[in-house]
Amino acid sequence: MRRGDLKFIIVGLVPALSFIFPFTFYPIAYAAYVSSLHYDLKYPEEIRFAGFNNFIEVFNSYYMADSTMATVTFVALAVPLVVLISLGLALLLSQNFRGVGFLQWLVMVPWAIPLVDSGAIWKWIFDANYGIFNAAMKSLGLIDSYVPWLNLRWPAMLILVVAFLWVQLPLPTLLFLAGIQSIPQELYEAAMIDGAKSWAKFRAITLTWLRPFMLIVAVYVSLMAIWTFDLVYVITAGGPGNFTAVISYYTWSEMFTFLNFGRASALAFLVVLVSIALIIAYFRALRVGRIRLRV
Amino acid sequence: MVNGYKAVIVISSIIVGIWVLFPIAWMFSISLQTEPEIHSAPPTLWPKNPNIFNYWFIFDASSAIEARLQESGRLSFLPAVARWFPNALANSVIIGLVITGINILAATLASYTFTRIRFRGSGLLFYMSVAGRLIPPVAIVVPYYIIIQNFFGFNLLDTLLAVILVHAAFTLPINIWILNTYLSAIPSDIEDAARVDGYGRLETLFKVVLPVIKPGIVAIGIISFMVSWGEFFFAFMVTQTQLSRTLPVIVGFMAAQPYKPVGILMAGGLVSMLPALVVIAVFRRYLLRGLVAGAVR
Repeated sequence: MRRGDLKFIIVGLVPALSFIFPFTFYPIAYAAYVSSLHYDLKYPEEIRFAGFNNFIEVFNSYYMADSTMATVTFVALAVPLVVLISLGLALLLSQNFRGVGFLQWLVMVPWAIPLVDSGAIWKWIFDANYGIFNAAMKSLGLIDSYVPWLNLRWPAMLILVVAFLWVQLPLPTLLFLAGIQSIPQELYEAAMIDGAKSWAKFRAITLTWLRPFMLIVAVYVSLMAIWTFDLVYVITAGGPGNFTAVISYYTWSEMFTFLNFGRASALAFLVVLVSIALIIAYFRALRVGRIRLRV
Repeated sequence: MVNGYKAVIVISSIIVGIWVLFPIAWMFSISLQTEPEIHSAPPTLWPKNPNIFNYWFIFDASSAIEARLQESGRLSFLPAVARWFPNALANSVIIGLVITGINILAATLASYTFTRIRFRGSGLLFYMSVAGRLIPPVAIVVPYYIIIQNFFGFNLLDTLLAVILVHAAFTLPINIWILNTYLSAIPSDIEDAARVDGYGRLETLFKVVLPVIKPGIVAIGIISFMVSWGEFFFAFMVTQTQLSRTLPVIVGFMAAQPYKPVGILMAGGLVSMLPALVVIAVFRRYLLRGLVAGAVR
């Protein structure tokens, strides 16, 4: 550390951290505290310490098995698709062709629509009676009569995944694109001199360079997928049966339907534990650790 | 070879275009239909008499209702909350721009400090600033409400400032992480050279580093604006009236009506898209390859 650096550390960190810290530690501590309380707003006079009771109740609840299954299915389908497709999109958008600027803009368009609306339009497309999907399938002769897609288990899940893709692709694509833009051209030139084929160049340079970006994307998209509530609420409302009722759907019902803040917080903390395990796994898989890519 | 490359580009561009535009085109068609037309099977691909009532309604609810009454004497159930749509549009734009400014400034400073200055606890501080984003929003929204209700003695509920604070806390961690990644990948040689030439830290940051990380900064600028633009839940919790409600909140209210006016909902979605699209278009111009290649040489 050189002289004057301390001053810069303060100047550099205070603006950001003064926004972040008040909204980080108190909320976490509060959530931890509430998760140990018997805290049911329907019976406000009975708020008392409950130890791990909330966690035990949540584990034994009627929805635990189903919602875990739904969440795992959704995340396992959605996350790899988002990562792969956004990487492909970013590669396309980093090429040099006429209209690429327009295409870069176009890819980000779905981001601009409020989530309620994007959910509503996908629900409407697949609506049993008035949906354009049914009409198209029927006029093509692929189905004989209208099918209530959202009442069928796997179609409903896939529709959720499609809507999630439509909504969530812009951010990862943009990140990968910015990452690709930062690759020094010398690396490619050097590889060219060494006679590398395009696939080898892609693997050795592009993918290696993008690895830390891939980590951010994987973590971000996974969190988004695990937390997905809005789309489920708008499109399937957890149905058919409980097939698409993901964990966050029950966290919300515990909180805002049953007003049981204790159980909702406990459930949220279980989600956090799973997320942390997942993130550690990503760090391992992508072997980023604390490597600094200094050239 | 070259032709194959071209074909791949053209075909994938077309697929991307259809993928993005089809739902939007369908929204547009629905927004020009009347409710009976929307609720008909088979669906009306394009209305025979495109009707702008839905747009009229979200921009000037009372005069649209009056005109409709004189015309037909009948009125279906309409969401009254739509009358605050123009306010919400303005609120969202203001909040989004402020959030973008805060993020570009604060995240750049912070990630420069994290990646370029070695000091005790730098790693810990970094993880501490990112960690808050691991908690599902639903678990921390109540404490957020409590903080905003009594922010150093001020009740900020239902102010634009409240939404700005919450969104800044929400967007900064991921943006710092992104810029950290970006900066770590860029060799610090030129900066060291600049420092040897007698540049201070701030000067180095603004004159040497900024031009190099331009694509990264543009990316976090877009991300900040868009995340704030679409964020519903926190904005919903800390706002109470049209003074501070943002677009997603108003649109959410419109969708939460017992009888859902699909046409108005779609019109609202399309209109709320427009300002954000302008912002993306403005920012995207700078998303071109920065000076990385030239500067490293």
